[in-house]
Amino acid sequence: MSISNANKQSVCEKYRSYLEIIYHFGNKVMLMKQLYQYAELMGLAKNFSTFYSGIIELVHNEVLKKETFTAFGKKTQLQMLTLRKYGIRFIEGKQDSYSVASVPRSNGNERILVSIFKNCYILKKLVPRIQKEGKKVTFDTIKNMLERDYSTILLNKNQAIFFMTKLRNDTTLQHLLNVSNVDYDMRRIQEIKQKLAEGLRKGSESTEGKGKGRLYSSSTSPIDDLKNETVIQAERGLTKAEKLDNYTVETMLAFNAHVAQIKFIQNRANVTVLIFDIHNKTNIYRMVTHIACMYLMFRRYFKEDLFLRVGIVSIDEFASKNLKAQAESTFIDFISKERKGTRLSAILSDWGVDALMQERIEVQFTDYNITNDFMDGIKHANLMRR
Amino acid sequence: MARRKKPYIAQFFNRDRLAFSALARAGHVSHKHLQACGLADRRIKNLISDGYIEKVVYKRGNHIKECYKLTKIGRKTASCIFGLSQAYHAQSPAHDLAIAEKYFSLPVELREYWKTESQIRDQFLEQLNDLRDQGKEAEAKLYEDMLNKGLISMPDAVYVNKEGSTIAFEVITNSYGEAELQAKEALVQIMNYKYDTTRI
Repeated sequence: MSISNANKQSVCEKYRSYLEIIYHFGNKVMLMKQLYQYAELMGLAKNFSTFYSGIIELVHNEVLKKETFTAFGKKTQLQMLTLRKYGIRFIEGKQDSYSVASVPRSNGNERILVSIFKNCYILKKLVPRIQKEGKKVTFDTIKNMLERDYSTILLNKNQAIFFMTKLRNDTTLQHLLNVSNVDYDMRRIQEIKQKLAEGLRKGSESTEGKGKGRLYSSSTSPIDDLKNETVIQAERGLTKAEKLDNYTVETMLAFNAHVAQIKFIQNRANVTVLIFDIHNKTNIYRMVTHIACMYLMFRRYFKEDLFLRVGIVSIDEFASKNLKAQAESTFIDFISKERKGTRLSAILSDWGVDALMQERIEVQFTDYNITNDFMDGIKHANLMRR
Repeated sequence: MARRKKPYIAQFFNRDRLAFSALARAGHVSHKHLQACGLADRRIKNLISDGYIEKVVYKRGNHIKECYKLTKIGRKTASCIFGLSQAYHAQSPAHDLAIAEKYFSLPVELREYWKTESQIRDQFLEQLNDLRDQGKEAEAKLYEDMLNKGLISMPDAVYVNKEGSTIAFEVITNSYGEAELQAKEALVQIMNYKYDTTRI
């Protein structure tokens, strides 16, 4: 038996704030535990039972979907909430369900893990700051705070353009920005996006709306593909210089690295970046190459020299200790067997960040204690669930 | 043949942590020791089929015996999940099993203070830096030269006993020369440890 839209609508209106939190802060998925923390902070629910009955009402009316968090086929005690189509439609204000996409059924845990990390940041770092300022914690104050920080935390993959436009159009920043470089990168991001959309459209046309189509090609025949330079380039892999040149905010977001805050002290940008190691798999080399690329990218954007603070956020203290030990271990040159300081600085200088610039980069290793707080202390062999 | 896609081990528990720390600290560990950590036979089998540990067969006298050591993946997992960096570099089974014997003879709460060879090395280098900070440049230089020439060598492990004193532990096999033993003793003196050896 299906539930009438009128019923769904009334429930949605009743619990609008929950839906907004899930939609905006969690990218449509969120752990129930974290949503309850929000509800407590914002005074939306008196206790857990009223909160829970509200959630159950939403679930019964097919606005939310309640699932257990599984890693590697093992179910856990955790409940995650996913917005269903009606909920998304309600928040986006669309008239019919054809104009919204549902949350794709995924085999991986990436989406929920990203959501856990992001909300941990908001709950642990941002909310205390709001409380310190003496403001009431609401949906809008959190959002305003993030806006003021020029944060990308709420952006998903392929949404870097919003951040760029924001930087570009901010009137107070114009004299600090290297406008031509920012414009160039914006144009490039848009071009890629357009190409992607074109490819998708072509694919869907040729398969009558059933297939996905090839993502990166926009040519009509395979022979054109061969002539196309970019395809050949993608096949042989990018060189170091190309990687450095092609690095944009988009690449950052795809790596789960987010700009947490940009502060301006005496016309100098202080950029804080958080890197989420969601699967507990990334090695230090990849981390540090991204840090180097990021630093050089921000140097392109800002006129004055900047200060970059990087927080590498791991899943628990063991993982963060491991990464820290790797970063601080002595680097021994492969050929000359010469000891060259720490691995961190060796990789950075390998990627075009010299000693002088390295003084402007500060790397910290932290953790959000996710294993104990959100996974019942269970250490999963593999969080990827594949 | 149908291959199993799913790995055997999905979650790690405390008993796995105990086993992994024993393996990372002693190199080779016998079946009996793994069972003492709380692992069932099936679990040991699963650890092998997922590639975390491997079985090593060795000959002792006229008997053929088996023991286990960490694989590369196993070492990576140990450092990623349990924070056990700088695992002991496994040597010959007989040598390492003597270390494991010592490790398991300690009470559980003291095992956390166990230090592997590379951890001792780091501590030693740190102490050299401390000496430099105190202005004892000559002394530090002397030790550094000694280390480079092989006149100072690290013992296999350092542990803390019930009385709270730190003890360096060394397993001596018949391939050890006189100079090597002296080098180890030199370090023990510098670092102010007590010394404990086993001959196998």
